[in-house]
Amino acid sequence: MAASPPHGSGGPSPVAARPASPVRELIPALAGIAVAAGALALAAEIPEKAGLTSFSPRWWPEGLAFLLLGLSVLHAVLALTRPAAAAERPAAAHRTGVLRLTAMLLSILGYGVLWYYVDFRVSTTVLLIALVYLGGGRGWKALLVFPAIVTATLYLLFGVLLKVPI
Amino acid sequence: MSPLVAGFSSLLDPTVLSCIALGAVLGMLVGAFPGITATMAVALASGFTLTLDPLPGLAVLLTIYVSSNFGDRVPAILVNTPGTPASIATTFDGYAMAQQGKAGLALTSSAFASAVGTFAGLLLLMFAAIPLSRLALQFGPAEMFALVVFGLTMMIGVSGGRVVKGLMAGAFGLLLGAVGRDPITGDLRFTFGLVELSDGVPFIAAIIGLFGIAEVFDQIITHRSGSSAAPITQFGKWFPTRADWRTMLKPLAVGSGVGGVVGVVPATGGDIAGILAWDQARRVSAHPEKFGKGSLEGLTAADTASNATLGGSTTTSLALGIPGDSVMAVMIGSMIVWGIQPGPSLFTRNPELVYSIAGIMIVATLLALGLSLLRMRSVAKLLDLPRHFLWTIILIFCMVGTYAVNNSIFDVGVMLLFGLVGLFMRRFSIPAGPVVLGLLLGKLAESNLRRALEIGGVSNILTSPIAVAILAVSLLALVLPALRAMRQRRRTTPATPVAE
Repeated sequence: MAASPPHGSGGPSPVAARPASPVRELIPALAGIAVAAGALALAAEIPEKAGLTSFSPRWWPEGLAFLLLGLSVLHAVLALTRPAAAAERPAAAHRTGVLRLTAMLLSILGYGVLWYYVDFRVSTTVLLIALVYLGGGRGWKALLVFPAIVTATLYLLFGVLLKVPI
Repeated sequence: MSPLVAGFSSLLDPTVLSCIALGAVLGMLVGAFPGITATMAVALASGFTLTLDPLPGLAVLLTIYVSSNFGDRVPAILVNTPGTPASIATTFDGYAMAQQGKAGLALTSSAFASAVGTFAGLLLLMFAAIPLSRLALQFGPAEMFALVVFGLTMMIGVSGGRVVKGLMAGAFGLLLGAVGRDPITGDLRFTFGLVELSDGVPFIAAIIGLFGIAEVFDQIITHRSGSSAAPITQFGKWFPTRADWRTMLKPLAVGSGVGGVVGVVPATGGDIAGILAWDQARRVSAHPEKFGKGSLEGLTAADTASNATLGGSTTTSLALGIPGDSVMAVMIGSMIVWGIQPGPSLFTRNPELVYSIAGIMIVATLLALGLSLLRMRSVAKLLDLPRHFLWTIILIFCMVGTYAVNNSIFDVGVMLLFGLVGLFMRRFSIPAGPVVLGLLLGKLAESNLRRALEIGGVSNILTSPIAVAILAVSLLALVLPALRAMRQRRRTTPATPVAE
C-alpha cells in the first residue's frame, strides 16, 4: 500500500497516482471562497464597540476571511494555469459506500433521539446492531454478542467507573 | 537527610506504590480511548483522591498524567485517532508506519521515545526548574505573540508539499479559532446564538472528528465488500535494531529540547510540542522527504517532545503556581485543597515534596513503559478485527468519549460534522494538520497581538529582544527550506550535462 501523505493531515489512506484534474482542483477553491464569503457576512453582524479598544472584534475574523479568500483565488488560478500533473489522489469512493455511510449517519441521528427516551444500554445496543449490520456483519455473534459486550464495556467504563451521566 | 533522599525514600511506602500502579493502569486506559483526555481523568480522579493523604493522592493523579501520554499513542498509530491531543503528531508518521506493516516497530519506538522524553522533562524539573520558570515569567503579550507566530510557521511543514492548500486549511483553522467570545471585548462571534459555542469550537470534538471519524468515513465509502484490503495487519519487527536506534538519536535530542522548552511556557502542552518537534526534526533530517510518510525520525521526535512537556509543565506549575497545562491546572487545585501552595516558596519550604513528585513521575514512566511493551501485541491484534467491528468500535467510543468530555450531545454533533469536513478534506487532498494548528493557536495569536499592539503599538513587539529573537527564528524557519530547495535545484542543474 502506498504511503499516506502527512497525516496530521489526516490524509487519505489509500492513494494512487492519477493525473490531477483542474476542474476537481477548483472544488476546494470554491469551498474556500464560500467559507470566506460566509465568514465576511457573519463578521459584518458582530457589533462594533468604538472607543473601547483600538481594535474592533471584527478585524481579526475579517482579516482571516480575506486571507482565506485570497488563498482560495490563488489556488483556483494555479489549478487552471498549471499543467495537470500526476498527483496522489484518494482511492475512488463507491456508490454503495456512500449509501452505507448515509445510512450509518441516519442511524446515529436516530440514536440521538432514542437515547433521549430510552436507557443508554438499550439505545446503544440497538445502534450497535444497526452499525454492524450496515457495515456488513452477519450472524448471531456479530449482531447479538458483539453489541452486548461493547455496550457493557461502555457502561462499565463511562457510567460506573467515570460516573459520566449517560 | 537531604531533600533528594527524603523525597525519594517516601516513595517506598506500599500505599504510594499501590497508588502508582493503580494510576498507571487507569492512565493507560484513559489514553487509549479517544475522547477521554488526561485532564478529564485527573479531574474525575481528584474527586476520589482528595480523601487520601497528599502523597498517595498525588501518586494517582501524576501517574494518570504520565501514563495517559503512553496509552494515547496506541490509537494514534493503529487507527489514526489521537487518544489525547498530545498524540496528534504521532499520527503523522505512526499511522503511515502501521500502514506499511511496521506497526510493531512504531508502537515500541513510540513507547521508548515517550519514556526518553519524560525523563528529559524530569531532568529539567529537577535541575533547571527555577531559572527556566523565571524566564517564562517574563513572557508578555509581545513574546507570546512571537511564540505563536513561530508555531504558525509549522503550517508549511505539516502541509506535505501542498503549501497553498495547507495555508487555506490554516486560515480556515484560524477562523474556527475566532468562534466564541472576543478575547478582549467579550463580544460573541460566529456563535449562531448557541451557548455551546460561546467558549469556542469544542477542541476535542473537532480533532476527533477531523482525524478519527474522517478516517472511518473514508474507509466506509471506499471499502468494497469482499476485498482483502486490511491496511494494517502486518506488524513487522517489534524492537528497534541498532541502526534504528542510531536513526532515533537526533530526533530524541530535538524532541527533548523542544518539549522541555514548550512545556515550561504556560498554557502550551504536548500537542503543540509534538507538532513543533516533528517540524524541527524534519528540518534537520537527512531525509525530510520521508516525514509524513512513515518516518521513524518523525514519530520519535513527536513522541519525545510531547512527553518532555510533562516535566516542563510540572516545573512551571510548581515553581510559579501557574499551570503549565490544563492537567496541571486541575492538579494545582487538588494541591491547594491539601494545603500545598505551589509557587517559588515551595522549593524552599517543602523541597522534598518536589523530589517526591519527580520520583513518582520516574516510577510512573518506568511502569508505563513496561505496560506499553507488554500489551503491544494484544492491542495490535485489534487490527485483525473485521472492518464492521472496527468501524463500529471507533464510532461508538468516539461518540461516547466525546459526549463524556462535557456531557454534551452538542459536542457529539460537532464531532460528526468535523468528521464530514475531514472527509471532504481527505477527498480533495487538503491537509487537516494546519486546521488543528489554527484552531489551537488562533485565540492565543489574536489576544496577544491585540494586547501587544494596544500596549505600545508595533514597537512594543520590535523592542522586545525575546520577541525579536523568536520572530527571527520564525522567519528563518520559513525562508531556510526555500533557500535549501533552491540550492539543491542549482546543484542538480549543472550536474545533468555531466551525467549525459
